[in-house]
Amino acid sequence: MKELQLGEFEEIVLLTVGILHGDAYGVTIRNEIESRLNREVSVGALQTTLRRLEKKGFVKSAHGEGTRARGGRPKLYFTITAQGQKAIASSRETRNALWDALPQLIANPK
Amino acid sequence: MKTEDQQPPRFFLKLFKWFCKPSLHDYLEGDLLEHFEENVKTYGRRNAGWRLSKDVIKLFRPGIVRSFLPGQKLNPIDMFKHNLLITLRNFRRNFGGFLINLSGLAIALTTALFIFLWVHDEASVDQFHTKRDRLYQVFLNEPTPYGIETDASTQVQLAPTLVTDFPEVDQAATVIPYKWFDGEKFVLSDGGERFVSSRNQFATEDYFQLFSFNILYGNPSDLLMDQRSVVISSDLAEKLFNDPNAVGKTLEWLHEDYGGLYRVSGVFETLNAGSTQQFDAVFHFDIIKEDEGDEWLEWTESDPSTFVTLKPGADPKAFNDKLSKLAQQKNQYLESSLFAQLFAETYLHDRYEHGAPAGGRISYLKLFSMIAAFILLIASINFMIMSTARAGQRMKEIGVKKTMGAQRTHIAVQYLIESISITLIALLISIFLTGLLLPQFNQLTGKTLSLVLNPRLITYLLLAALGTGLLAGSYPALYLSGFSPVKALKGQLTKSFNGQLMRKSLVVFQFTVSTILTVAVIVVSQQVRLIQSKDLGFDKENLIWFTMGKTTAGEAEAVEGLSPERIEGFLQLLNNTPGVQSSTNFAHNVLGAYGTTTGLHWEGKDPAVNALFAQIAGGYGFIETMGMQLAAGRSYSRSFSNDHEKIILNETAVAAIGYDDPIGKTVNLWGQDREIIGVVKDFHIDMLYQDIKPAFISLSANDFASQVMVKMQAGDQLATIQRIQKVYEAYFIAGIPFEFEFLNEDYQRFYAHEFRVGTFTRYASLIALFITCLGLIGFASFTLERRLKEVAIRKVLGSAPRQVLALLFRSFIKVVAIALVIGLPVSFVLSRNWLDTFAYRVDLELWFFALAAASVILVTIITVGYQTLRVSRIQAVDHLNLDQ
Repeated sequence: MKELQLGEFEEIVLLTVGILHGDAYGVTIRNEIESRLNREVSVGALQTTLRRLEKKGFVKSAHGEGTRARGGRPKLYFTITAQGQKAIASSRETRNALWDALPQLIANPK
Repeated sequence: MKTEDQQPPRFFLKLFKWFCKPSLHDYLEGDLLEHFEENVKTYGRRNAGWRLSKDVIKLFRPGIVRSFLPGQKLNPIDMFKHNLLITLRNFRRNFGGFLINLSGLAIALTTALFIFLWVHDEASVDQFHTKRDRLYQVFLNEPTPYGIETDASTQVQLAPTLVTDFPEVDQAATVIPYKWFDGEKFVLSDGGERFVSSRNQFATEDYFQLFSFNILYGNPSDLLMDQRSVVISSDLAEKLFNDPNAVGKTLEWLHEDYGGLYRVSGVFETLNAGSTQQFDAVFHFDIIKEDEGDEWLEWTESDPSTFVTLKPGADPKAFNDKLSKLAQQKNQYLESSLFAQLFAETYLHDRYEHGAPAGGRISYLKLFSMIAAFILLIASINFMIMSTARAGQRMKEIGVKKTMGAQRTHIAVQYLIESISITLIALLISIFLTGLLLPQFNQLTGKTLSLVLNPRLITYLLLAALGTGLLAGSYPALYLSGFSPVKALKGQLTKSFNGQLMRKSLVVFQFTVSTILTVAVIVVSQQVRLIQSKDLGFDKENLIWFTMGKTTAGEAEAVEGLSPERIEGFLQLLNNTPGVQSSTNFAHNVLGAYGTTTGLHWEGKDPAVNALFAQIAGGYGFIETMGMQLAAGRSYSRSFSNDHEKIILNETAVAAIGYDDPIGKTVNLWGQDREIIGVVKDFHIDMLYQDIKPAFISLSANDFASQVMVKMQAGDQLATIQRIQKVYEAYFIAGIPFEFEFLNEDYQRFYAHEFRVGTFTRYASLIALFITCLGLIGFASFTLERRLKEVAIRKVLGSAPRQVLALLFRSFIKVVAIALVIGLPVSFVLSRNWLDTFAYRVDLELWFFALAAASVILVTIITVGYQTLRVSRIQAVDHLNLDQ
């Protein structure tokens, strides 16, 4: 179980990589999170998280093409691994289990 | 096209490139640029740039920032082993160069180690006192016609006044040091037949509490509690009583003034050279105070040394301010003033100018430390020159390594390892050499240094070796690691004008230092020769002197001074001894110590001038025995009965008084009219740093002049001295040790410092020149090798060997010439500054510099001569068919 644990930001990044499916690299991930969650993300925080996820084996990276806007620099694409999928699934399960155990009154605040 | 104002902020991108992990950089920079592009559209250039900068700064975090340690990703141990292997292989491949570097570094480190030992020893003098941080010595500044003279002699009342009037003073002690007695030998006995000569001093009760001499026996807190107490050294206790624990035993001092029985209240460990205070026995100060009488207590009199400890935390500056006004407060007519100096600093800072400490030994310490550093630098430069000169041989290695992914730092580390390993080997050799040569060095410095490898010394040594190694390796590491791998692999020597120029400038620097040192050797040795051969106005050869013995002992108070008749009787016996030319009695010590007085008056003297005269007290025959020359009149003679009421002046004194024809005129000394019967030619009793002072010689036939000076005939002096000893032992109490000194040896000791500086400089410059030449051999062999083809072509075109030889020599001489142009003026200034401290000095003559220049050039020619000759005689064909 333990190796599947995710931090809050890790979970967001991992999910976003999944959402972008095949088009996930630094810029798109950041834009996606910023637009969906309406929160500012720094390149530094995002990149260190991505490295961490890669190290844990939840994502893997692949060398991509460069564009003019990037000054010819290559993109680094991220895709979610099977292990990564397990991790978000497990995270969702634990959340659901917790939600189920929550009394109605608190679960639906007015 | 992007316009200029659409460019991202370059500085932050550069900054990012600098700190980012290389493996991430491209991707992240791409992301940053893409964001920037988008942001320019949404927010405009300025805002987008600001956002990028913020992102870059936020990227500075672990996981993104690269490692700044070199080679961290390689296995450090394996790399180290590899580097060491390459190092050893290189040493083997270029064994000659290795030997040159190694011997240069070993000699330099040995020199540095010796100088370090010497400096360390000098700096530790007087540092063993536990209260050294607040132990001060008080000095007296006396305005004289020659400027302010600073003296350790202070008032008898000073110490008690300081304790009562100055709340910040903890304790104070008054001391009459042994030196005060100008070489008089004191004799102690065990009350029986055993007589031992001893250096006695007087001190007040608290003396042993201010100073931390090691008390072996006795209660440290009440050592000098009563007048009849004495504290003696363990050596003296051993000699007198055969037992180091002499506490409670009684000894007798055979002396007309201070003689009597004393009880040993303590025994201290015999002093070593680490203490400037040197004595064998300490007597109670009241003994001499009572003997000198009440006049001694006046504030106008100054004789003893005064030491104080301040309370912890007291402000020494405030204390000094108060102290400087003290003398005037006590006696408004006093012109002198007092100041305190940390006692622990008095040894190294022992020169005073305008009434304040102004260098002294410390300047020689600094000078020689600097010379040591320069010699190390010269040896390091040898390494630099050789490794960069041989760069061609290692280009392929560097090229291959770089192609395989070695970074600049890896190559640099390798060269540093090379230089550090060679210095470490050199260090081992130098420790061995130092141990071997230490006895000679001790003889030279007159010290008893030992090479004890304690952790502190080892740390210093390793630091020195590491520092030298890093220094030596720094330039090669920087220069060689910068090769472009492509060029290196193609074997193109970088057309590095830089490398050549740098090497040449390094050689110039080495020769500049060598030139300066060579001039220094010539100047110092000329000045030393001047000191040695200077006509002092007296003849210091074949003179011995000693203190007269005692004729009574055994009962306290029975010892009396020798009557003039007894002195006369002894001198008669001496004069009749075969081998003795003449003898006389005298007071003080002829060299450096004499009385001074302002009590000499004459007709027409300007009352405003406080003319200071030196007083030399001698018996009959003093002028003749000393070999002084009379300029006019006559010497003291036994044929006149009242010669002790007359006076003899030196020429400077006559000039100061202003008499044209002084003989027969009178002057008034201490209220007594004295007729001038003679004038002696000027003689030097001060060190040659100072001008000759006006002096007079007074006749003292009594026991005030209790030293004996004997002029011996040249020849078998040993036999003469033995005969003198027999006369001495027969005339005085048998068993009193006969201890004599040669005046010539005193003279050598007087200038020991100057002579030592002379010898030191000679060795230092020899070593510097030698190491420089070692480097030159390496430099020359390299330069010549590179010019083989050129020489071959020249020969084919018809150059004669002689022309080629001249051509090759010219390139070396040019380097040396530049060094001379820089070095000679510098050495001129330095020499002049040093010589300016002497009142009697050699003039700086052109030939000093010419000789130095000639020797440097000559040494250069000899050093490169063989190699150059060989190259000039090559067979042209051998070097033209090589496909290079």
